[in-house]
Amino acid sequence: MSIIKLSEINKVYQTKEIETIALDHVNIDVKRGEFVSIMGPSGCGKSTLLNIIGLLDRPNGGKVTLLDHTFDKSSDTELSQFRNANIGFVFQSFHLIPALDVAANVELPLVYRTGLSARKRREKVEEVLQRLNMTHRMHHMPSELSGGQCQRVAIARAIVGSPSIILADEPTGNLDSRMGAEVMNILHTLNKENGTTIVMVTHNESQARDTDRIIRFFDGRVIS
Amino acid sequence: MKTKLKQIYYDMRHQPVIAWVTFFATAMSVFLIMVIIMMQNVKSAPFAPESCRDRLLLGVNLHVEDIEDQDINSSSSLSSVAARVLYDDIDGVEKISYYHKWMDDSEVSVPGGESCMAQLRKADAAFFNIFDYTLIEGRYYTTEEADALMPLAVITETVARNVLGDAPWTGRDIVIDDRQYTVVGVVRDISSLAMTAYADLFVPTALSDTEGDRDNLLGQFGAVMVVKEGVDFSHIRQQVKARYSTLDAMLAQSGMRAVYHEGPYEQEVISNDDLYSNVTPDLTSAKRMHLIIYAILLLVPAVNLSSMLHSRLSRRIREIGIRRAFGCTRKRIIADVIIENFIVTLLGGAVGVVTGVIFAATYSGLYNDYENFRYGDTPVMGALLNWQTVGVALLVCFILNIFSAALPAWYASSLKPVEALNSK
Repeated sequence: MSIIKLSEINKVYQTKEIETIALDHVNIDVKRGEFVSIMGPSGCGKSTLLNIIGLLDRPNGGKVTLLDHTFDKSSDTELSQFRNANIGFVFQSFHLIPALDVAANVELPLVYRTGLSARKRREKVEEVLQRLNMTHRMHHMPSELSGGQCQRVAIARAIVGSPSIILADEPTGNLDSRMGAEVMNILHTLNKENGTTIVMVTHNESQARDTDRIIRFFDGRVIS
Repeated sequence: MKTKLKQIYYDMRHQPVIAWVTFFATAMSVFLIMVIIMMQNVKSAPFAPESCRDRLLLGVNLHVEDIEDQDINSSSSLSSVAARVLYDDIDGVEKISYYHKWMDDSEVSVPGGESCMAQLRKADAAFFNIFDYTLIEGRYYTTEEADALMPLAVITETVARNVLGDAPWTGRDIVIDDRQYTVVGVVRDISSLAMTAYADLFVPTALSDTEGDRDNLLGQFGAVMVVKEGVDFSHIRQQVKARYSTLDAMLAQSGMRAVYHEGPYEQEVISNDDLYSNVTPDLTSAKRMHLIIYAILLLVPAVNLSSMLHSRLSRRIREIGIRRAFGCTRKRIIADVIIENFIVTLLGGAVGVVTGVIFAATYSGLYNDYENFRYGDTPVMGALLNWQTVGVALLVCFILNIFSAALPAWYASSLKPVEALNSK
């Protein structure tokens, strides 16, 4: 059963002089619980695709279906609420908020969820940080963490709201191989133990091979 | 809230120049507004000895004009006759006093001694019943003494010390403008902000004193009255207006008539800078003008603060993108920016309020329009600062915040999540 279904997705970036086709009639199906890698050369549209799946950007044409919802007429608020409830993001450069400590960074998605008390939020944060062995860094600022630790915090933030889908954009791109392997282990564990669907953009062939499926991209098209 | 405070602290540490300039610009704006509000407050808020300002009415002017040629006209304070006709036995008045509207800048000394200058107010005995002076020695002169225009004086403590030296002061003679008086009472110094009650010296007068009366019912008297609790000012004004026909009858022989200008006036009107005896006061226009001035005073710092906030936010675009990615709505971004800015504005506002309090305590004399009030610059914190002032300061913070934060907040919220995330 598809959890992510992209049908005939087009994305064109238009400037005064140039029209750049980022996605050209892309069709993708991802099943619930699947761990999918997206590979391709730089600038081929991988990140654009991830942004469209993550509802961070809107396509120029085609239909996005996530968890049986379509978003053609969804308002910005509806998209935000859907992202909050169902999608977790892991970015290459971690994207932690520098002014907030680890706990507050992890808590972020829960802050935007209605009906959760501060205590409940704090419990969930502690639970997730414990799972990722980061409890001892709970009150540290991002600037006090190593790259690997930052990415673990970012993963904690991505999963704290128990989303069905995690979108990871080169999650090991800024890490050394040991840290990278550690992050990949965490993602695989999440996928296996929680059944979380993961779509990961990567340049690392060996990491991609460890996932359930590789979607290869070239010039905005799926080539295999 | 804790998170927002952390964010503000982080901002101040990482963008110190912009943050501190924002902070102090807010403080100075609030301070400036407070000073202006206090300048207005002292004109109408009750404080001793003018504790009854909210029930006070003043009938101090008369305007007469030629019946056939209105360009021939005259206006001034009232003669004793006009004062009696207009204000004696008015229904709804609890207390009334007649006094000379204008004070004299007088020389005062001990007999044969060196003189100093002081403001002299001639007032009847009821004057001391209307205003709650603090009597520190002796007594006030009585109605009988005032009616007899006896050479008695009530003086302020500073004048007593300057002229007579050490206490006791009562029973001693002083010379005011070459005339000898006996001091019967000494009151605590009066704030120069109490425009009607203020003087350094008081000597008796009464409506029987016609020395200052001039043609056409003009003279030197004013009437100050305290209206009974619950009585509407309009009730008093209707009676006074009706009495103008009596004045007209008295003036008819000289071909003049009295022009009614909606008096007697409450404190707020009296304190209006544009009060003229031959013009009906237009409080609405004055208030409108004040509002325009306030708006301009707010708008200028708001524009500056807005550009500084915009600059602060432009360094947080990626953070906004992150928040949007994890489910923050546009409305929430706007609310967060406004709340964060409001906290900074409030903190700055608090500094502004404290500065205002210090200023009020130190320079209350500056709020006074009358340059020649000599000894009365005693601070009247109650009038300068009250809940209304603080409330308005808070309101100013709020408006300043909305003015300065609305545009940057809207800008921040309108960024597409993907563009915000990819910003440098």
